Amino acid sequence: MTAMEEVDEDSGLSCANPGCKIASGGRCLEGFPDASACPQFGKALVIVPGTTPPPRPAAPGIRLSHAQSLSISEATSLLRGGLCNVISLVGPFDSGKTSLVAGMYDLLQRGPVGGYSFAGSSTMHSLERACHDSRRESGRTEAFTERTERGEVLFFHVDLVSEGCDGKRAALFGNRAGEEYSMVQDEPDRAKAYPELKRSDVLTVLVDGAKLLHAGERHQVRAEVRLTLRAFVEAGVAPPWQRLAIVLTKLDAIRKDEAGCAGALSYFDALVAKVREDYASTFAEVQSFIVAASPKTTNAHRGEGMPELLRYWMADPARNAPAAIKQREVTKERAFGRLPLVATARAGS
Amino acid sequence: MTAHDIVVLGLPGSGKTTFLAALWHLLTSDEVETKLSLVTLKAGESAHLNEIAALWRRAKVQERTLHAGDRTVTMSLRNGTASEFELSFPDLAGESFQQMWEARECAPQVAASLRSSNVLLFIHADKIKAPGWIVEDAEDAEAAGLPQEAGKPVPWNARMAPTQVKLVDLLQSLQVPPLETGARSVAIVLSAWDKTAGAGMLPDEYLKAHLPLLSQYLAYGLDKAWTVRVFGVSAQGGVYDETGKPPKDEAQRIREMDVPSERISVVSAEGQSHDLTEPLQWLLP
Repeated sequence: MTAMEEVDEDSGLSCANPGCKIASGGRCLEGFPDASACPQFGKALVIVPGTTPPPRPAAPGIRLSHAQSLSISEATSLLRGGLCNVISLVGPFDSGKTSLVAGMYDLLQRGPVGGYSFAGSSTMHSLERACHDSRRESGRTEAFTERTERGEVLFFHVDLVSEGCDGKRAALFGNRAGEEYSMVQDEPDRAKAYPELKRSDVLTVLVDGAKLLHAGERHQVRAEVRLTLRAFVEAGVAPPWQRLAIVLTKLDAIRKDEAGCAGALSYFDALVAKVREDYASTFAEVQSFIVAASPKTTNAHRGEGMPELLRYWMADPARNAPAAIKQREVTKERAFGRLPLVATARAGS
Repeated sequence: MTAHDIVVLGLPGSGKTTFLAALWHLLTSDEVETKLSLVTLKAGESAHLNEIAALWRRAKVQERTLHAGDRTVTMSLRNGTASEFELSFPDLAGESFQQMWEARECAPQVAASLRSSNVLLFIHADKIKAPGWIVEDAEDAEAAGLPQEAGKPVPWNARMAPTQVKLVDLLQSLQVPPLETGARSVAIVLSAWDKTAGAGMLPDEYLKAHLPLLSQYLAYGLDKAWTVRVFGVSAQGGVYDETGKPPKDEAQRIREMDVPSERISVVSAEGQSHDLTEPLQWLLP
């Protein structure tokens, strides 16, 4: 017996106290001369079951790697293991950050993407979970993505190999709840506590395409993008070798709205132009992309625009590009040192 | 006597037992020429081998109760004229691999078997579960002018993953501790090959077309010291009778063949034969 059971006595002389013998003709255990005055009298007897012995533990199995998103310390160890590009996905709630990674992974299930082939992943459970609600098995008729929970940043990991190249390069996608990035606009220093930002090779800022279709929302979207970038720069988490990708998501929603489509796209172009104007010298490169990572309607094919974005994400990190060092003339302190070399002097005459 | 071992891997229902049944018949019957030959009838789990081979000869489907759990089959074999050796096949239940993917753990005895350098990996060529996208179903429904039927959302479960995802994860697990053991040879057996032969592809091409993620992983994700070869294997040669169901014409046709070993078909880039020992011989050092 594992649950509490109530027993009703047929005699009507019942007591909730299991030690009381009143039901079998005895006296009230609480000492009441008139048993009916006892607060336990007349109530169903409560039988507390004995403790069920715990099941015998099965023979201990050998644990394998968890296959879930990586913590910051696990991602740091992976960074030490070889070539790796870190990609931060920044955008408000429901802008499509998780869908972007899930869409890329699901495209790889069909073959190489943008000249990159799949070479492994240590986070396959999390990637599969992220893809689930855009797959047939979910029982849905419209793609959906679970909300990212607030808390520490977690990383999706995929190893990729470029066409004609032999070595793997890992991609680590920082996944953090959109609300936490939004809070940076109020308190820029909060960005310093987000370790993925400063280490990112590509800062990817998402622009929700569906919101650009609404006159009331689009100005807010533009303001959020600009405020977020400004906050990152002011907080010092945007190093000069970082590349910036501005990604317009939900292309299917934009195309579906025939009347608003052109307006939304030109508004996005103007937003990109303004970001370039403001931040061209802050970032190593600024590029824009338009994607349909996990479309809800048939107005775009799944993965449109993703190959170009993946190539940008996986390009050789600009932090590794050799920078030209200016030659500086040092005036010799001694007069002898300032004499021209014989050969130089002859050439000059 | 030299000893070699080949670990037999595959998800549930991938054709491992049918392969062993046909192999035991092939080796004991001497009906067709084989690269490996049997030295003695004495074998580990010989009763089990005879039982499953009997079902195979009668063209009856292998019952799952007969091969539940993990077992190690051993055979004394000879490679051509070379000296004899003992070959052991830890034949692990498909559920063990399902558990590795879902629960992220495996039993110590399974882990011990998985440290073999030679791997025979089974994939049922006709039961590959590919990832299906909602948006593509919507496109099809729209093209056909049909409404999409809304169902109740089903929460995610690791068991739902596509076949190729589970197989990539299995191979990844063999490359890292605690199952890592250095370079390995992997013979991939695409079982029930007769059902897919109409596609007119070689096994390598079929794997690339139907399991693209696995194909990419085999090309780029495995350590360079690993070697892989893909075989298309039809160990049954057709559809067999199931217990409790009416006999099938095809099973009767198969039973009527004079040489049972000719039911077997092995296809690789090098050609076609009835020799099921080909993948085993390729795995041997």
